[in-house]
Amino acid sequence: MNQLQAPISAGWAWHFAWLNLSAADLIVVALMIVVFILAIIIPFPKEKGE
Amino acid sequence: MRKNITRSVRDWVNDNLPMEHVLPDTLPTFVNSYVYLFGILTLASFVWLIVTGTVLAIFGPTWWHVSAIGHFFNSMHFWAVQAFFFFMVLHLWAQFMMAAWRGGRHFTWIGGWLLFLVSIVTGLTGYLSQTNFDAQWIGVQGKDAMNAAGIGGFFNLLNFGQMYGLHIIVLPLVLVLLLASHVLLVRKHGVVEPIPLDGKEVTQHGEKRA
Repeated sequence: MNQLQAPISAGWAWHFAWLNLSAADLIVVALMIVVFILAIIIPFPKEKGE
Repeated sequence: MRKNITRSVRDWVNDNLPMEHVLPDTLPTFVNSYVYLFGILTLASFVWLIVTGTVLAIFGPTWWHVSAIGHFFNSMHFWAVQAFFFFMVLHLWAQFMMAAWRGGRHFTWIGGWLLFLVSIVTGLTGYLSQTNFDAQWIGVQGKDAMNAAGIGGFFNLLNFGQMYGLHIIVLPLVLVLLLASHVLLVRKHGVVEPIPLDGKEVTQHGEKRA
């Protein structure tokens, strides 16, 4: 990719009105949702003898 | 005994921040969940930002652009900020869903929002401090937004010295002070109780309300 390209046009992006989300943005949001759900459902290890 | 500032401050700290609250050795059982780790992960990322940022500030842009170790520290600073915002947003989701402003904790919630907003400005000044094409582009594009908002006169994105100074001393100082008060407020009030299943909340005085 051309090094002198503007960050906003650096690759594919999802455009909706004023909102521009790059592929990296969407991946991060999806990852946040996955980590959040896992944090809720995975049981926290209990202390020994509890 | 006559009143003086030292004694008044000591009495206030003893009354409002007792040590068993500030440094607790046990926590309620409902805290046994990974959801409660997002706050400390944000704080850990912030500590790493300060450590790597200090090294970058000591050696300067010519070092972080050309040497292998400089690249490494620059990358650690970059990834630490990704982790910082990642965990901060997850912390925000978790606290929103458990309505963490209940039980007199409204200033902890408001302080968290202030931290979020100041962090965004710190992130922006960080982008402008990279001394690369990305920073130039963001500065030239962003100045119009600042001018439109009416603050371009004293917050000039094209003034590298101002942006760098804000990024490495003023804004981190504000963040440290806000973070300290945020953590102290969490310790003072304790972790918020889960929302009761019957929909009735137990108030600080023990009575239930809808």
